[in-house]
Amino acid sequence: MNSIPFLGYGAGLRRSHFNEILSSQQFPDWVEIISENYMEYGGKPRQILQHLREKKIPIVAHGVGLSLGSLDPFNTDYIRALKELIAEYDIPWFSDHLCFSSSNRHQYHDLLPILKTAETLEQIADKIKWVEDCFQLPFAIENISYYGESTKHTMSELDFLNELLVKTSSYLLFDINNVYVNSKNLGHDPEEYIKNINHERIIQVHLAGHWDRGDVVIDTHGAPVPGPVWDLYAKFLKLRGKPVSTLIEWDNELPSYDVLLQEVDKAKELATNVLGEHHVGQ
Amino acid sequence: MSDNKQYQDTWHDLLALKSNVDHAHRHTGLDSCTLELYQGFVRDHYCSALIKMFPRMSDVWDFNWNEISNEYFKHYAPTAWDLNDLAASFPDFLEKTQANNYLVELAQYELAEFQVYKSAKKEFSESPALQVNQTLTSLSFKYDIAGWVKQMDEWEALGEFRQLKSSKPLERQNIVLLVRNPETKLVVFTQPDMLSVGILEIIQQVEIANPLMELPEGLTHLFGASFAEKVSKEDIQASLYFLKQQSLVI
Repeated sequence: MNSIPFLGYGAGLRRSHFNEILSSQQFPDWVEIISENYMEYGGKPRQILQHLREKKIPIVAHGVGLSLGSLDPFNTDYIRALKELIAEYDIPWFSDHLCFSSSNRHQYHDLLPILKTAETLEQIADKIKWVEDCFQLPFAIENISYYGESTKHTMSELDFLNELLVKTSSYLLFDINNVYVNSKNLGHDPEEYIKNINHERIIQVHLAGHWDRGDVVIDTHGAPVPGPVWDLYAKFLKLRGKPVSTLIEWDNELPSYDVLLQEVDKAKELATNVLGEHHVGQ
Repeated sequence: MSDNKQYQDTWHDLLALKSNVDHAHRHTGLDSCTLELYQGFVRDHYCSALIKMFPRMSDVWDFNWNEISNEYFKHYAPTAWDLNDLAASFPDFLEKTQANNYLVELAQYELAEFQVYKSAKKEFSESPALQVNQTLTSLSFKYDIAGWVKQMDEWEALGEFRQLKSSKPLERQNIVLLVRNPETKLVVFTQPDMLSVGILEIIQQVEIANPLMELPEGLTHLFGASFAEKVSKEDIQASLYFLKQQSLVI
């Protein structure tokens, strides 16, 4: 973990904020980009990344298309484009999800739940090892939100993730909103999850809002971080006892850039309250 | 077949609309509501991608986009990892479904507009020589699509949706050039005259150090002596000024 920097408190970079970012003097400590929205793109997306690089704002790449859980081989064009993006912007680590988003060469553009069995664990571990070898850069997997449990699972998500972290050198991008959403939809105990996840391998945290439809809670990233998710974040920090690079994800119903930065400040303030001033600036 | 293979193949059949939720429930062990939810998410991503890529088309076309989307992806498998690139064959699809020619041309225009926006090429290199914007894309239409697009955008800005919906382009053979502005990064169109098209073609082919000396010779090669003789130095200067104003040349 020593080589992994603590980046502070960041925000997801989204297209509707591009012009405000270009004219603003205010920035989050760091930004996370959806890799696919920049891979093979010139023009405005590249202009923004170059601007942030000049301002010395760290950029982390977060993908949705690696499809680690898929039985299809990796798409070589995709891998090449991702490598080019990562090399160009001194990206300290990159991440993707514990899911499959493609199969039989079809792209679904959604994060589909994997079958949690020993067989899948081996398959995904092999793919992650290949990614680690190919990119030679810290890689993190994110726990996803999902909306049903298969009767064919033979492992819990917690066991699956912890085992995957043992079998590979990868890190964990810990999405606390996803833990909360899954607890509401599937009846998991979120505090047990937070207590038993492998803290030593957590490289980054995601915080986001969701939509409670009544029958199901949907991970929309379309609202401020709600109270119960802040509470879980506070409990997580208390257990961890040290800060972690934290990011506000907001993808739909986007607020103004100023409101987004206020949400980032809220995360920093909470961490300061839990850990004390001297820890947060580390 | 391994459990995981069967699991993923079943998901594939469900999401490609080759099987139903009951079948997927039996083979994935997931309940029907969950499977329906995911099926809806994926179909919605596909349909939204088309609507987003063809915003003016979705304004003027009264078809059921969910049906069109399902039909399109049945024939053109969604294999692109960039969601926006899923729309790349939509103009071809429209042509095959015998949609109105002007709708096919509008789809070609909107697709090209996105591709120019996305282009990984820099607009201009550091070279001091006269050069053409590297994002330049040329489209040849039977209808005045660019004029129609301009009018539609104005109506939309004014909230005149009724006029927008009932509008059609004029039938007029024309060429439209699309480029990305190097400053704003916005995509702009130009409808050039024959002289401007010729000058662009020459600059793309050979390095021009002295335009007023070298372009007349190039125009002679391209269009013949009778055309070139009628072009004055002032015409060339005016054309170059126009091309620079439009970010087509630097």
